[in-house]
Amino acid sequence: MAEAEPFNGSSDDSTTPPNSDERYRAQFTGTGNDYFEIALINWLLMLVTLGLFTAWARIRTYRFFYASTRLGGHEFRFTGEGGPLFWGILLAAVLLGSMQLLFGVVFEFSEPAVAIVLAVFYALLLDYLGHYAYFRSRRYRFAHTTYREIRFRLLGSPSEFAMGALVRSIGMVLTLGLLYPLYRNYVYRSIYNNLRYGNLRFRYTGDDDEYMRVVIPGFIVVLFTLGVYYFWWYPRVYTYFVDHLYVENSRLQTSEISAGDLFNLRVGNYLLTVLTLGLGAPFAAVRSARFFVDRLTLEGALNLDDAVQKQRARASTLGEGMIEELDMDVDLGF
Amino acid sequence: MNSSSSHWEGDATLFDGVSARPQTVRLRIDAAGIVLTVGAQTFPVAREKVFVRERHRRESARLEIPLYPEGAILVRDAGAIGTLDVLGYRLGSGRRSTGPTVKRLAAFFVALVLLLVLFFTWGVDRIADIGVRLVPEDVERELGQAVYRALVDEARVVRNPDMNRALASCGEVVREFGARGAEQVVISVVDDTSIVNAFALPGGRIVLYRGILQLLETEDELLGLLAHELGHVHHRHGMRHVARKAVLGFVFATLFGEASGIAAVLIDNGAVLVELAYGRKEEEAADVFALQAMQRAGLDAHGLVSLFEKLDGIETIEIPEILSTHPTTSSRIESLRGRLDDAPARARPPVFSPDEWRVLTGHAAASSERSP
Repeated sequence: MAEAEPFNGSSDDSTTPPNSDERYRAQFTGTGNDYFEIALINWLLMLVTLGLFTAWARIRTYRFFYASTRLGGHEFRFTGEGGPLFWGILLAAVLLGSMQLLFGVVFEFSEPAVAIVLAVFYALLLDYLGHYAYFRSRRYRFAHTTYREIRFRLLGSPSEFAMGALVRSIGMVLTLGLLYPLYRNYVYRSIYNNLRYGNLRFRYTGDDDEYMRVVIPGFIVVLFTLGVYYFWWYPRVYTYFVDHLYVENSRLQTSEISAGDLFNLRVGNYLLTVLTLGLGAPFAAVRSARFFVDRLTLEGALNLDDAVQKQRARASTLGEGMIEELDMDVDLGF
Repeated sequence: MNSSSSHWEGDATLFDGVSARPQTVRLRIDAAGIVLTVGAQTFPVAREKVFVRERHRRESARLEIPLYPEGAILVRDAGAIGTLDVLGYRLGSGRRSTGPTVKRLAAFFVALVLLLVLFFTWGVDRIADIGVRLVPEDVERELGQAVYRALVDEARVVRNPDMNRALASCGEVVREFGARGAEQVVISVVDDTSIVNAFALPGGRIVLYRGILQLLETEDELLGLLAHELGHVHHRHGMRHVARKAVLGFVFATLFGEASGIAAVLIDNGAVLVELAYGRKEEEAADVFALQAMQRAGLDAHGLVSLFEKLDGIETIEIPEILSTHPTTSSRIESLRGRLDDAPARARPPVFSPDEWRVLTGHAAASSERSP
């Protein structure tokens, strides 16, 4: 009997169709206590294993945040394993370590003029490798993310992405950061236009000129107000990104973030972390997650029930390991 | 819903892993396994084929069965989880465990400690040896040069035609010692009588301080000292130390995930990395080399013993810690004596002219007598 063909039950009332106003709501259900427990155990095991627990600590953290994030009542799931990630981190450490050693030695023994050229080349190489690793790490994470047992997939080429990012990084440096919005948009486009949920496509439709106008003038005001305007500026920048993100023809939206809300979040988290000498950091992380996730909705006619599983994408742990070793676990866009 | 601790029955959600559509199914859990009712069909699944994965809170459980290889059954019911617990369907049982168990962690820790012990007692030296062989000689020389600049006050290095002539005579004998890299050897004398020391740097630079030179009474003592230092050059001990440090730094950086730090440490501390205090084994290797080298060059190897006896006698003299490279213990002298029993007598005319000897040691002439 168990060998019988899986029977696909008829569509029934547990299906989650879009509400009457056609939206899926996101919700973060994790609590600070839950995460504190995970972070504490991670920290203790890192101590006992001289840091070798890093891989497993990462996996445990991802699992918590994914499992705590729900859309339309169903949670996400992170399916990555510690073992493979451990080897990925080790391989990245050996590769990057050897590279830095080599450069260090060559640098030490070269003429000043050659050394300058080397240093510039090395900076470009690091920029390239950082972006390469970033793309591969996102591919790894999405390949191990499921929602209702359907996997995400990140298509596209890491090296192509890294080359494009390198060109834009150079542009950014030459213009003292003025071209930052173009770089940012490029990252968003590269990730989300290549992202699939089963057979469903994501799309990012942000426009370079428009995004420039959203980011740059406001940022100048932030500078002149010694940062105070940040609490008005950031919500607009963030909202622009979310509002231009689509799954098929359904649009992601975030409810309004007021300057006061953001102030409470950021300053609260700062105090929560500093006044507890870091012990409160897990609580701060959960506050942030709840702050942003709980505001998200997916609006449109799309029925997520229609998503169909596609073939598993291959994704190694090397990129994730490099991210860990380069100590650049910053989110460029998610 | 119908439940007791021995079985549970109720609704569950099935995701078949093919589409994202959730299906409500009937689930029964008992000691034999589970029974899944999907529409009008019933699938019993034996317990050993049921894999349980719990969520991060005890509100829901996730069951994986072979029937839906990419799907799962979600039960959101405390009673169901209670029954799974009572019947011994444990968290993480199944294809893959969700986290490390205490046993695995303990095993891992023991393995880690063993690995580290093995690494420090055996591995570091082996890897360092390989590393040394890979380093080109001119890199080694550059490094020695950097250390030399850091340690030696250039202004106090003796440079005059007389000294150059005397050192050239030293160099002629040194080349006969047959050391690897002997052609590259550069000998410098530092005009500082307060330091009783001599050392060899990577790449074959040998530095002698006046303090040690003025203690010397015979040519064999001086040439023994040079032969000993050349032993360090021959065995590339300095470079081995650098390689050891690099290997250790590399491993630590890997362990603690700080790859970016390695290069900085190596570059900033290039000079400091060359620890001049060699270990016992390295000193012995240099001694053995010195003995053979002196015999090859027709010198009296007893000069080496009398040199160490002199140094042994002045151990109380204050020497900067880092420069005290010669632990002249009596046991080392003993072991040297043991090897010297059948050493031939000197079969070579004097190497230095009286003038050269005076320039080198400050004494009138070399004694041709063996020191007692």
